Amino acid sequence: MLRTRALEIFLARIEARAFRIASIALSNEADALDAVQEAMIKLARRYASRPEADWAPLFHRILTNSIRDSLRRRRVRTRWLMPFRAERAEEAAPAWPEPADPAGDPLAGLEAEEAWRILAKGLRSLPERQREAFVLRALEGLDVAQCAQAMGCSEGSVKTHYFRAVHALRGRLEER
Amino acid sequence: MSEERLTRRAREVYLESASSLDAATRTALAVSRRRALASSGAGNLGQGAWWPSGAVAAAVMLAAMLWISPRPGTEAYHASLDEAGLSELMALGQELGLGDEEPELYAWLGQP
Repeated sequence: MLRTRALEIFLARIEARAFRIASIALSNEADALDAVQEAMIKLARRYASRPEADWAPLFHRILTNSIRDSLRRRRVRTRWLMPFRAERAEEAAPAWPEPADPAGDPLAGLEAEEAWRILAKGLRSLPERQREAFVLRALEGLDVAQCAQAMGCSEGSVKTHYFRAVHALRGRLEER
Repeated sequence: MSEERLTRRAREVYLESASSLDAATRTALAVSRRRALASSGAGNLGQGAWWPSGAVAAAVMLAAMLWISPRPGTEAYHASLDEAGLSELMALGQELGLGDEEPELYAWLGQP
């Protein structure tokens, strides 16, 4: 009973952030909701008995896999069923807004939603592993060992991906 | 912009965006959470929880029956075969013609 309550609190705390992470990768709210739901169900079914400290890296690993599965399904759909829709979607993507403070913080002075949109676009432009490393390390605040567990790679790889992500993201945001 | 400033600002924006989700998305996430918790409980009950307890209960009952029932060769075993039961067995054996084939053996088996 206590464990169920602890799991509920954990999921309630992480679900909105997980949705934002899935939204970055999938660029589609319905797909993001599906990915988050899948991750929550798998964590609850398979890993609820594991120590609570393991839940966060496990959840992120499951979420990452759910996102990959969703992207794979989408690629198949796009390739075989809707060959022209992806191109149209790219054409319709909104332009980046004018920078509010080009000399300093690119995200300064922006409304929360607008700042998030710009950050998400910067993150979306990163290679997948770099984006995962940045999201887990910088945004979720996991330590290097937890990131390695979540990403299924060595701690050295996490550091490399993270380092590259920070520099690439800084460059992208300052380009604005 | 320094690395520290970038990561700090990115985290602020991220957390702020997560806390300002629209009501419909929040509701959908809450429904997903409840579904996950329910499936966790249902999964335990359906697949794992009752199997071991059922198997243990069956094993305990079997062990108890074996322990309580008298073993062949003991006084309790012979006492459990009352006179009426024994004569029924003898009658059945005679009907089948077993007593004609090996009378010594069945006489020996009938001894207490």
